[in-house]
Amino acid sequence: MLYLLLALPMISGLLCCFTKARNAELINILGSLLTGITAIYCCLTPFMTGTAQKLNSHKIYKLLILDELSAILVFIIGVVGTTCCLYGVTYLRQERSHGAIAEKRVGLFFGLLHFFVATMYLAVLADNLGVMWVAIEGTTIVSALLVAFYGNKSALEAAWKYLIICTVGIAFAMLGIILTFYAARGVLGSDEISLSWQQLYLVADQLDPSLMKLAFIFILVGYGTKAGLFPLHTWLPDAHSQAPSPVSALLSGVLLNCAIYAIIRFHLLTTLAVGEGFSNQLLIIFGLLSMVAALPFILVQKDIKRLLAYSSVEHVGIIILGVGLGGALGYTGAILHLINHALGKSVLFLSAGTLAQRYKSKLIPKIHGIGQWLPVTSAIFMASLLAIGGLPPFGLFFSELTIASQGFQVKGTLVGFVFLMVIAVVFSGLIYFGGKMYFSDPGACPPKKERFSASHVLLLLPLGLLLLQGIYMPHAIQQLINQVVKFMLLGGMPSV
Amino acid sequence: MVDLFALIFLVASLFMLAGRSIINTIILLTVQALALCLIAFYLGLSSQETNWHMVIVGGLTLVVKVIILPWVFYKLVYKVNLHREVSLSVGLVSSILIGLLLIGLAYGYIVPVLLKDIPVGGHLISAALAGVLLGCFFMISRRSALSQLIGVVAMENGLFLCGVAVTGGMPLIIELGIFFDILVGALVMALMTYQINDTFETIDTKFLNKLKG
Repeated sequence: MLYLLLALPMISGLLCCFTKARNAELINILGSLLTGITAIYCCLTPFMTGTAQKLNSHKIYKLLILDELSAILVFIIGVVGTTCCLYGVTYLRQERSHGAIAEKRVGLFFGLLHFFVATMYLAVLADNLGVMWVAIEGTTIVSALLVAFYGNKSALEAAWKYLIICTVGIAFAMLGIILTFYAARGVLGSDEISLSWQQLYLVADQLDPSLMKLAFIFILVGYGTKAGLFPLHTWLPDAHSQAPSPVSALLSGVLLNCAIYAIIRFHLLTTLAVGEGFSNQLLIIFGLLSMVAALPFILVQKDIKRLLAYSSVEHVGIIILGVGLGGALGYTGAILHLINHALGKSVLFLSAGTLAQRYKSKLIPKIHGIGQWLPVTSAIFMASLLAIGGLPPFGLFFSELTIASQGFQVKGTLVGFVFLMVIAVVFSGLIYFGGKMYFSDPGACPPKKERFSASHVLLLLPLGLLLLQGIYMPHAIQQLINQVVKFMLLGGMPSV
Repeated sequence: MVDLFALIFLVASLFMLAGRSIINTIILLTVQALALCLIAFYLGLSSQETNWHMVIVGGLTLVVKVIILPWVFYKLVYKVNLHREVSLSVGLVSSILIGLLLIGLAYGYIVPVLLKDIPVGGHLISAALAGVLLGCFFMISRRSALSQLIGVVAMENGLFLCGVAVTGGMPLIIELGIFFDILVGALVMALMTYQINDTFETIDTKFLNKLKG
């Protein structure tokens, strides 16, 4: 089943590359729906069968594995990936009518989009640090091509910086993996089994602590670059703002999460090997730094997509902080926030993309009176903006609150206070920009009223999930989240 | 014997910092990769039993890093008409001095202090880490897209040697994955360099400065 999940997007990607625009659209729709359904089915299995795969016994090694934590990521890629691929159809039709993208490159776009999704599935499913590294490097290569898709000066600049910074960054993660391999070799032998997450968790207490500390630092630098943690986030706003909107949504909603997933895994391993107090301190520091550093850029931003990109830096900081704080509350908050941010931010990027397309500009002052011009899209845009800001009926409010309460409990007032202040200021900033775009004079009278269409339904789906989560969390889902948190608290052991 | 090849590797990395001609840099990169390939073959064939893992890895290095990549870069130089010399952001003399400093850092601090738990045989690890650092600095000190691409490959060479030095080579499937990544990655970067040259009419990265804030 897991191999099918990888094969489906690969096959549809290949088919898209070699067909005409019209067929490529069809293949894209079919392929992404099938992939999405398979993903949802797959991510429910570890919960259905109770204790995921029973890998407590030693020396069982499979290339792909699905446990509680990766199931969450598969769910996110499934939902967000499918939404973005489907929305891409409408987006690309618009671009073609403007003449921004040539007819014959449409197939290539969908093909790359599917390859991108496939590499991300591989990154979260691989039960091997090395394969995961290869997959994450693969996501960089494919998505850089997508970022450069418009082929104009700024797109090329953004793609080049993205490619270079992330490739160099991730090279450092490789050093961390080499050190881990060295530490594990004495215990597990020199086959690829000694880089298996499942096996490493079982023997973590026999690994050399000082080597693991060093390895964690390298891993944090490497995957932190990819996740957009503070001093290494510089590629992120460029790439997110220049990419076609469905790609920005995927970058922000899913790709960052894959890198965070890698950090979380390694954090669990390091905590088992070294004990509390090392890796979580580092995560808390870098999480808070990212939040605070993103703040000034959000407040003075003029470009709508850069605004959203910096907001992603802030949210990555929140998630990393939640993981660093740890405990049942911290982990619950981080996992919920991971899901919520992916859902909310992808809708936000997609609807902002439509706005920018309509106004032919990404500058906030030029996008005015969206309430009258595009009533449906702008309503969705505003709702998701409020959701990302953390307004109560949406799920993000609760995940942020959970992390904040853990912060107050574990680290005292200062961390909790800074956390809440940053969120409050960012919220006011977002509302200011949103209000400026929504409640302003549209200039001329709108020519034609926007109709409610299928692509809007597509955007309402993730938004509905967010809303539902804030108002009423079904017991079954709570159970699932609890199971994931228990898995993390036990340090990557299947909960029994 | 291995130490000799490691020395060649290190000297090639250092000399890359010394010149401005892009063709010379490509030749030095090839020498560097050749040294890696010889190390892998030597380790594979010198012991009583042939270590096939190392032989395969050495063969891959030969094909990918000694033949394909330099050939692609060489083609690229002619396609983008890069006969002028590369512009630098750090002067030649100071970049060699910094290069020596980085080598000293690898030999004098990182390996004996930070990595003291790893029993070092010869100076392979130090040379490998110095290679990574020099590749990284090479990227910073040159302001041309192609030089940055070469720097990435040089860093990757250092990492590869690091893997060999510390663990005697990563598991084969991962090694294959890394080779695939570096090949595809370098091709994509070469393609993008070509596009940048088409659009900007130069590959000097100082013109890539429009996106800020």
